[in-house]
Amino acid sequence: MSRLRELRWLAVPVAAYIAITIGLPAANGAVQRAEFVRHLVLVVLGCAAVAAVVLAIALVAPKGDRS
Amino acid sequence: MTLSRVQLGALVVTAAVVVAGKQFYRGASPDELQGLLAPVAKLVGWIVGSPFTYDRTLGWVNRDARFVIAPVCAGLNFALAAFLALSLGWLPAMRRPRDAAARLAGAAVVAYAATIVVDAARIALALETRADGAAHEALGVAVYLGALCALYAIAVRRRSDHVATA
Repeated sequence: MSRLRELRWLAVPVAAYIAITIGLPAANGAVQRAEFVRHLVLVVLGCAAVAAVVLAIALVAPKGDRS
Repeated sequence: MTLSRVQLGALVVTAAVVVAGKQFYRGASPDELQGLLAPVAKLVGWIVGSPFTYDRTLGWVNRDARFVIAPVCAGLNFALAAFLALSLGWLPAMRRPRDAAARLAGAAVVAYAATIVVDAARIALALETRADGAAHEALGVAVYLGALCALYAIAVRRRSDHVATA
């Protein structure tokens, strides 16, 4: 669980990316466009993939190795 | 976490830059995005060994590869996301107005430099793989998001080092 807690930092870049690519366009009415829905799905899948990769690295890396 | 007035001010500046940047990007022409498009096109041309030429209506064009670096490829969304993430990552170090100004300026410079490198790598990969449609978009999400997380991890580590040695 401590290794999972070390990954909390990931929330900031992922949230920043979602805010720029999904949040602001959605606030400007992009939700009604079909290509926006495709983009949203890709971003969600991309976030899940990046989280999975970083999680895998954190689980495999020796504990406390941050340098 | 309680934010000081300086940190709140830095957040307001960051939000204003992001919203203004998004509004600007919506209707920006190739001429207006030259600050990003030109260095990215030159770097991509150097990576793939085939130079791009500028077309005022399309952007940067490589007729041999039949590829256009259009305004939508400028990477301004990545630049804004990087600026936002770095500003948030460095927020704890923004205790005085001078620190906040220096950190925000640093975030802007790092975001700009990272955008040129990451966007050029993304476009070179797209050229190499000939990915189009959803595959092109998926490649973009993977490259941008991976690079953004790496950039933020470096910023957090640098901040931790700074705090540890202060």
